[in-house]
Amino acid sequence: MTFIKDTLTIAAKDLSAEWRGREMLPAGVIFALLIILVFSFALETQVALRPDAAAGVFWAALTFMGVLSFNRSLAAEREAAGMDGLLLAPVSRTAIYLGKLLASLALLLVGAAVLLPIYAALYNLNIFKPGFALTLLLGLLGFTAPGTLLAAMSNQARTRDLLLPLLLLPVTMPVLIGAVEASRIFLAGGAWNEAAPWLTLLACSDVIFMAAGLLIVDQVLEE
Amino acid sequence: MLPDTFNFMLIGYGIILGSLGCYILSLAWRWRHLKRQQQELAETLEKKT
Amino acid sequence: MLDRHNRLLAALDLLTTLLMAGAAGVVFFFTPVEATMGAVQKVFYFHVAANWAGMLGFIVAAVCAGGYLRTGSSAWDIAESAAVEIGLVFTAIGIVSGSIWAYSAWGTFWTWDPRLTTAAIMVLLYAAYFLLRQGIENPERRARFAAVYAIIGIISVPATFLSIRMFRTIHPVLVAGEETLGLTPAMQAAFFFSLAAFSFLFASLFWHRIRLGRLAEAVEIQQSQV
Repeated sequence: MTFIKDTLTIAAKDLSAEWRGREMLPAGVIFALLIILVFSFALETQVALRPDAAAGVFWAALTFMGVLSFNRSLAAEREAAGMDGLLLAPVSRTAIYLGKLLASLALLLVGAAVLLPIYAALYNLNIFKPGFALTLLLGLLGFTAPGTLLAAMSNQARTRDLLLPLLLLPVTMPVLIGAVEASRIFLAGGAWNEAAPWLTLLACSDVIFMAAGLLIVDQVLEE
Repeated sequence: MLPDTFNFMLIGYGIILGSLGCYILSLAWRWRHLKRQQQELAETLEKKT
Repeated sequence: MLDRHNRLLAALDLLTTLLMAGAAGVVFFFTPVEATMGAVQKVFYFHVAANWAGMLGFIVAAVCAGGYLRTGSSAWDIAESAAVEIGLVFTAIGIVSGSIWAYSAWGTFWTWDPRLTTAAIMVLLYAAYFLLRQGIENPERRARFAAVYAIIGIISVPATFLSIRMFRTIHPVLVAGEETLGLTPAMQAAFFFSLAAFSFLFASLFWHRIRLGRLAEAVEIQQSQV
């Protein structure tokens, strides 16, 4: 019980810090919009108006926004020496990991929610589909679980901001492929059973990465 | 008609065996470098004491 | 003790050299020339064997990573980075030799086939492994983080392969992979001979690389004393 409370307290702490400082979310959303813009010129997607390319562009934007936010979340702790305090507190490492993960996930979901209407207008898409919402949740979870863990590692390295995307992107390739494919199907008006294999892939990746994170986090967080 | 791809085979094996050779050379080179470094360190340590 | 090790290693090296020469001999002189692709098909034997040795390296590295996290002994860490390095070399060799074969047989250096793409992602993943090691000075922490990353890597590689395969069954590629090759008994013999030779090559390189790692560690300790 205390474990769940600790987890939620840490998540709430991160979110309220973000609410007060408003550092990550505006930067992340603007960055993601810029990426969508860059892609739309690089691929000329408005001309073709293909939902398949649109899904890929959206996930590329979310990916880079995610990398930015994981880096920021742990860098903020480092700058304020908050991690030392957290580790000295009588809280399990697993709770710290889960709390950070929840906060990052919530932030990314809020970011995606801000991004989506703009994106839907740009690409003339109907985004209000329960399947797409589920894909978004599963995909972002599968990305955040290893992201939080690897950010905790890369932040203790010399080349910290540079290192995280290099570590994270090859590892989360299955999540990215599954998320893009499922989104593509849902955005094109496909049915649930069409997307089922991809949702299964996403769910399995989520479980595996979460389990690995929970088992390994003790090795990564240290005084 | 059998295509003549003998040269491609030679390039392929050249790259496989050549790269392996380069890697083995790099191992040998690193070994020698470390040995020399070790000796130098031992000498400076001796001079100190 | 040390002397016996050295003699064993020398014996292993000799055996490996003989096996590699034998495998090359079998491939060049005893296997038939394939009917549609010609001589370039012979790249297949060493190409697959190199990829096998690469995969072996990454699996061995994950096992060593588990050993390190359990015991905290630097011997596991040295073996782990040795295995990753050799795995990277073999995988890179596999990709390049495969590209040459593909160019000759299909007219293109690269296809987005699941195996090719997974191999490319693996190279990037384990290159990042060395960047991670490079970025951390504290040896204990470096070993721990590297072990964590090696384990996460080996978890993600099969999932990557699976997802790309699912991706490709929906978007079929134009060229078929190796499974369309019918192997005659002589070809099979050469194939397994090459696999065995590369396994020994892996073992012998692995041993040499571990010795190098130990020496590097000894020098590092000496340096801290001076």
